[in-house]
Amino acid sequence: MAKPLLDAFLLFCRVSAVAFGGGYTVLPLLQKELVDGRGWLTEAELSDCYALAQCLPGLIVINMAVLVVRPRLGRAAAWSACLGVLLPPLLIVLLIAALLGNFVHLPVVQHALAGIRCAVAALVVWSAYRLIRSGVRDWPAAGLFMAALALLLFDWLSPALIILAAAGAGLLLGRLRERRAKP
Amino acid sequence: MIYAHLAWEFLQIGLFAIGGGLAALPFLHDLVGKYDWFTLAELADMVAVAESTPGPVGLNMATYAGYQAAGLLGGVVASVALILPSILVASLVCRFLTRFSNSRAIEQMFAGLRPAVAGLMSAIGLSLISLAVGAGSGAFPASISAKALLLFCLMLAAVFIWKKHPIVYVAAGAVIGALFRF
Repeated sequence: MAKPLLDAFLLFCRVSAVAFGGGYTVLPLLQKELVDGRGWLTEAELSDCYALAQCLPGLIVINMAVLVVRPRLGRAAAWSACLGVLLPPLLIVLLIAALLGNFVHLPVVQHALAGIRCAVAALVVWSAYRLIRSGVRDWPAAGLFMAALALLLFDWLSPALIILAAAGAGLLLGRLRERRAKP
Repeated sequence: MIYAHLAWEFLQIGLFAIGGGLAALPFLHDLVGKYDWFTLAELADMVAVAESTPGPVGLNMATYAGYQAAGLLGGVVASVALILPSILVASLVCRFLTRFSNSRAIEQMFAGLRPAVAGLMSAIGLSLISLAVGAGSGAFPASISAKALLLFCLMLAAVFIWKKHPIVYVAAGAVIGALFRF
């Protein structure tokens, strides 16, 4: 009884610990552990799971944990896997946050943080660029892109409402397109 | 009751932040104006730490943000609240997996979501550029530091050309910032 729970917990502890700066490093480890090692799913099934996990709300790794573990080991093991995802970042980040809090007033740390902010801005621009490249492909999409950008930039709508409105707009546009396609 | 506020805000982020990685960033940015939990500059530091430590970026950011707002317990509350909606939604989807994965309505919704998420991330990009190179705190800086602007442009070129792991740029930014007294 306890063995699958522990297995799921430890597996996703490892997965979470290597999910380093974006979920892309997770896939190779999952392939090795789940497809080659345990034989729970095929390569194609894993890739479907990954695509679905990216579409669902929240963290990709948590979604993967539930989608992969729950059908095979049950509900309790899925929760145990999620705890496994939670644990490593919780310990490491809390430690760093506490340490940084002690040193943040030092001038050298202030200078370093000012330099880091330039790097962070560049990384976020890169991330936005990738999203634009894959998500903004036609005029209606460009309109939605500009609308979301302006609404957030000028603080007119909260991100949650923008997300909901965009989902609604996507449905509406899709329906309109279908209606136009029919003679 | 700060923990209840934290839990409520991070439950929402867990439910609405779609796309993984930095998807939680626009929501955390929203919190800067709403509560006095952390400043925009502290948010940028959180991104740096979250991108440079093991663990999913969203979870790292939530843990750090919760800690910044309300200490150790705040970090635990925020990260648990962040993952709860995911667990519930993914469990629900497990039951309807086959019907769900090729639904046309879902596809249409995502055709609308993708450009919007790109727009949100672009807006945050502008605010963070303004934070890095300027003195102001909004999207439009009051004054610009030439040194920081140069470093930002170099970083941007480096990110686009080499596509190394984020931690490389964060480390380079720290060293350059400390050496040249930014």
